[in-house]
This record gives sequence, structure tokens and C-alpha cells, in this order.
Amino acid sequence: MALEKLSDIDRRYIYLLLLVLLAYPVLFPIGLPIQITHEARTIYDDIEAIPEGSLVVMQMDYSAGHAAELGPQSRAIIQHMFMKRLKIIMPCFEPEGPAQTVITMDGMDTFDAVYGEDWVQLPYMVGGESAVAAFASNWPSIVTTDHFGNPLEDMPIMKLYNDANDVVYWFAMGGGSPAGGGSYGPAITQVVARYGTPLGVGALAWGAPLVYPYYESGTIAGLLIGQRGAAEYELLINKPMSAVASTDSISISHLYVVLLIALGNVGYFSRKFRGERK
Amino acid sequence: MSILIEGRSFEFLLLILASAFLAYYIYSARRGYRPQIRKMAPLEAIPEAIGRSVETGRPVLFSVGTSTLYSGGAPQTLAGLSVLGYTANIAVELDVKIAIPLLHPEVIPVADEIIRQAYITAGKVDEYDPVYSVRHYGKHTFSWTSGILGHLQREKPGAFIYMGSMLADSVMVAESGHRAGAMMIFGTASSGQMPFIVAAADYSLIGEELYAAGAYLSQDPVLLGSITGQDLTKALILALILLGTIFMTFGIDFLNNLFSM
Amino acid sequence: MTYYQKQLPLLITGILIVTLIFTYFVDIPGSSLYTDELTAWAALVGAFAIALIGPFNLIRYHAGIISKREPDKWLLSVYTIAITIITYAVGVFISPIGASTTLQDMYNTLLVPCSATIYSLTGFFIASAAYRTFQFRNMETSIMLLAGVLIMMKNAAVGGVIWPGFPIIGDWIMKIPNTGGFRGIMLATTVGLIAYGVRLILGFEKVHAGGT
Repeated sequence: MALEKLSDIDRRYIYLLLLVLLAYPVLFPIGLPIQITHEARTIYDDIEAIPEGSLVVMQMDYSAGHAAELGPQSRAIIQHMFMKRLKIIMPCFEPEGPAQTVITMDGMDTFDAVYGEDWVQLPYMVGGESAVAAFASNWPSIVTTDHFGNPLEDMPIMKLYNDANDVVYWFAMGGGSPAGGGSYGPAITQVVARYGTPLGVGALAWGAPLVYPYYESGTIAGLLIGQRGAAEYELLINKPMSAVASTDSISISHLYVVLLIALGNVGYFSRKFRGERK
Repeated sequence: MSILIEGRSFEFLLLILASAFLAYYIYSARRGYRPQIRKMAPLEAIPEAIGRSVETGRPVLFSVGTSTLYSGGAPQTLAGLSVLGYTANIAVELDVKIAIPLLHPEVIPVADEIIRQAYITAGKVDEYDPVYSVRHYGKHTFSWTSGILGHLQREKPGAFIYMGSMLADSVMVAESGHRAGAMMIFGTASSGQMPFIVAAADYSLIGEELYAAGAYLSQDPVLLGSITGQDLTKALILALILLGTIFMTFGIDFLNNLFSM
Repeated sequence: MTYYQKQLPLLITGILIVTLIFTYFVDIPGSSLYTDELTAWAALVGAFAIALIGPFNLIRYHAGIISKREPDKWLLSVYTIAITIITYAVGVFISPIGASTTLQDMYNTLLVPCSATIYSLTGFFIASAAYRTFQFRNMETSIMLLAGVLIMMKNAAVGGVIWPGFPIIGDWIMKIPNTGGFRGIMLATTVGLIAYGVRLILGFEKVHAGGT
């Protein structure tokens, strides 16, 4: 009887314990080791190999809900790009993208990069895939000012960019699935397919299964997955930040869910055997 | 000298073939050809779910998902609206109230018309309450999701049918639906959400099954013809994959060269 | 007027789709001007839809609820319309193109916590969904359970510490069965989208043009 109740635990206790287990490592870090995956290392190696002064695009497409995973990813990638003295254009094709970019750039060490010469933040460009296509082929047709209202035609960095052929590396963040309008889907069809520009993708943890086919076929050059991917990248650039601090929470919560599954099965089989004995 | 851009010739040929299959079967269906679509358990469960609502005196909650009528997820929304028509007809016939919370305002008039038509068909047009049935919980995904979570807890529907494009809301509404005691029938072609609905819902339609469901229930000749044309296209792709695998295993580059023509 | 209301939009849709597809496959000098112009117009129409039509529909719907004084609903509709108008006014008049930080501050203090909270519920609900459904009931659920547990142990940094085989098996699952399965699903979904495009070209899909 007692064993059967293991599959009927009140959800509120499950949620409460999960909350405690998520919060504890944040307050009292455990310091579990993090293995660097091949996918993250590929992006790091690709960006390391880019010559100083080259033009890259950092597509900042995520909303507040996804910022917990994609914010640390974008922060780590942009930090690396600044460390490498690359010229960064940050377009946004998601309504909350510009606001999230402001949050991400807050407190960022830009290594003396000059706004307008070395990096620029663009506003939200409406149209989804059409907007990405227009930006990749002929940016003046879709955007004329940066996010802060400054004309782009006066900016030295935008004079370097005619179309995606001028971009050495394109990194796309995205919270959705490719076919459903997620932000790295248009980058695949409008940038990689048309111009052959190497593409790195920052994906949510639940979106990883969808991106793997593109990674395995070589369409995507590299892949960061969830907060774990952000933590790996922070370690690669030797700047541990929020993602590394959160990895212990991820580990503990995963173990907890595995334990819950085990308890649920104990309860299920206990009920089943009792029924069979009767 | 080819007029087609290098590397895209085979894609063009495949697109023409697929379009030809689709057009042929759509026009055949309009002339009376009715392809047989296999019965799908989730669709068979819809009357059962509504019957459960009748027995328990609870309403039905329906959702057509998070996409609009003109974006990449539009086919899913349209399939969901077909299932809505079928569900609304049964619900109205059995005097069960049906509510459909919508994310995009442009879908409101279409959903309103479908449910109104169900009431007209049942001869109960005076009983139709559009304010109850057609709801809008905000244009932001999570405001809409939290609206549905609240709806599930307040109204405790006997059946929750969700057919359409899904985002991160699927597992949340599924768990809330389970806690509310609703029988859940979900369907989506959103790749990222399929695992969640298979795990959390009582019945699920994934991928192509959602499109087939819309055709199966509406018996619209255009949709039926589309399904047949799509199946033939997929058979062609499957044949190419199998042949390509065999050829490459034996080092024959013929198909590889053909694909990159 | 019936032709211009019903048939002409469908004809325009069909012609635009066919010509855009044509320019992808055939290299016509000057076609990039055509495609660039169309994509710019698509972005422009989308901008109007989001900026004007979306809020208009929202306000119209909720104004209907307020006018009928629906119990438990009309006050929430007042709140919805008020927040919409305030945010709109701030964005258009007070924070033009991000020059001031008012809109950003509103976003940081209102939308970010609400969105993050609702999205983070997913984690809790997944835990209870896994607890409820991941059981060795039959072959399919058993495979789903094993795959789920192995992937969780691969994703957790501690998984590799507990047993080095977890990342190896997890990688194999992601790269082989998962990739194969999702490729099939993506192919099917894409063929469905092609079918939708063909129906648009042939004029059978009319909802976007006001039909049913």
C-alpha cells in the first residue's frame, strides 16, 4: 500500500522540493564539473580563427521567457567576439529582441570597441523570414536607423556590409522551431542556403532535437544548447558568469526528475502486482 | 547552357513533380475521387470526450494553437479549425458549451463563424453566446497560456481538445488539463512540441496526422486531394532516400550527382 | 465589385508565389530588384499588421466585453485596454526609437518578470508530467522513458561524473535515432507546407483573402 502511494505524491510537494533543489545550488554553489561538448568547442574554434576586424552578425532573437537560456549564450558569444576585436552587427527579427539586447549589453566589457565603428544594435525588423531575406540581401530596404534612432548610412560599420557575402560568421539565437518560424530557421534558408555563410546557432534545451539534423548534415557549423551550452562557452572564454553558476541547479534538478520517474514506476508496479495477485 | 541556377535543377524538378501530384489529386477529388484516409484513434475519441463532458456537466475547451492564418503555421491552424467545426457540431447537438480561447485576433471571426454555424445547423442559434465561446486572452504567448491555465482551473472542462501549432505552452496546458480532470486530445505538427503532447495528452496526433485529421473530418475534396498528393510526394522522397542509401553504400555516385545538379 | 473582393486577391497571391519561386530557380538579370521590393513590402505590411491591426482588434474585442459588462471579465478588459494604450503611448510619444529608457524600464519591470515566471512553470510541469507518464507500461512508453532518462543524464553536467557512458549514449541517441526521426517529421511537415503553397497558387485557400 505504501509503495503504491509513491506514484500518487501530491504535486505541490513535488513542485516545492524542485524549487528548493533549484534554489539551493544558486545560493550555495556546489561546483560540479562541466564537460565541454564538441558542438560548443566548434563554435569557439571557428570564432577564434576569425581574423581581427572581420564582420560578423549576431542575430538577437529571443524573448523574456527564453532569456534565461539564450541570454547567457548571447552574452558569452558577444564577449568572445569583442575579445577577438570583431565588428559586430546585431539585427533583431523578434519583437523583444532589441530590449533583450540592451539587457545583454548592460555591463559587457567591449574591449574599447566604438559604437557605430565596431558594433551596432539594430531595431526590430518586421516580417520574419522576409525581413531576414531583405536584411541578408539589401539591408537599406528594411532598416535605416539603429535601435537608438541614429542613421545607419553614417556608420562606418554599415559601410562594410552590403549583403551576407561580406559576413564571415553569422550567429543566430532562436527560441522556436525552424519550420514554425523560429529565428534560426530563416537564417538557414536565407543566409546559409543562399550565401553559404557559416552559421552558429544558440538553441533552447528543448529545441536541441530539432537543430541536430541540421548540425549533423553540416548545415549548421556549431551549436550551443540551453544554459549548459552557455556555461561551456563561458568556460571556454575563461569568463564564468551566470550560466556556470546555474549548472549545478540543472544537474540537481535533472537527478531529481530521474528520481521522480523511478518513484512513479515503483508505485505503478506495486499497484500492478497487487492487482495481479488479486 | 542551363537556364536554371546551378545546384537547383533537381530541387526544381522535385518541386514540379510534387506540385503536379498535388494539383492532379486535388482536381480528381473535386471531380468525385474520394481517397480513403485511415481512421485515427484521437478523432474517434472526440465524441467520447464530449460525451464525458455531457455526463459530468462540464464544458468543452478547444484551442486552434498559436499560429495565425497566414504564417508558416497556418496549415495547422486551418486543420485545427476543421476539427473545431466537427467538435462544435457534436457539442452543440449534445447541449455542451464550447469555449475557444484565441491568441491572434484575426482568427476570432473565423472561429466565431464556425461555432455560430454549428448552432444554426442544430437550430439553436438563440443559444449561441459568442462572449462565452470565443475568447481572446492577449496577443502574447504567455499571457494567452496563463489565460488557458486559469480557464482550466476555473471551469474544469470535461474535454480539452487542442489542435494546431504549439509553442512552449503545450506541456503547461497539458498538465493543467490533467489536474482539472479533462480528457485531452492534442494534435500538432510543431516538431518541438510533439514529444510533450505524446507524453502528456491522452490522445495525440503528430505531424501529418493533424493535416489528415482536418481532411478526414471536413471531407473537403481539396484537403483530401492534398493529402493524397502529399503521400505520393513522400513516397517519392522515401524511394530516393532508400536508393541513395543503397547507391552510396556501394560507392555509386549517380544519385548524389543528380541531387547536386 | 465581387471579382475584386474575391478573385483578384487570390490571383495576385498566385502570381506572386509563382514568380518568387521562379526567381529562386532561374537567374534572371534584375530579378533581385523584384524580390527585394517584394520582401520590403512584406515587411512593411507586417509592420502595419502588428502596429495597427493587432492592437485595433484587441481593443475592439475587449471594448465589446466592457460594453456588455460581462461579470468577472469587464474589469480585466479595462485593464488590458489601459495597459495597451499606455504602452503604445510610451513607445510612440515618450520613447521614440529607444532614445529614452522609459519603454525599456517598463519592459524590464513588467514583461520580463511575468514572461520569465510563466515560462519557468514549464520546468515544474515537465517534472510532474514525467512523474505521471514515464512508466514501463508498454514498449513505446518504456523506450520513451529510457531515452528521456539517458538524455537527461547527458545534459546534466553531473551525468558524466556519475558514469562516463551517459554522455556517449546520450550523444548517440541525439545524433542517430533523434536526427533520423526528426528528419522524417521535418520532411513531412515541409511537404505539407508545399501542399499549402500549391493550394494558395490554385486559389483553393481563401481565408487570407477573407474567404472561408
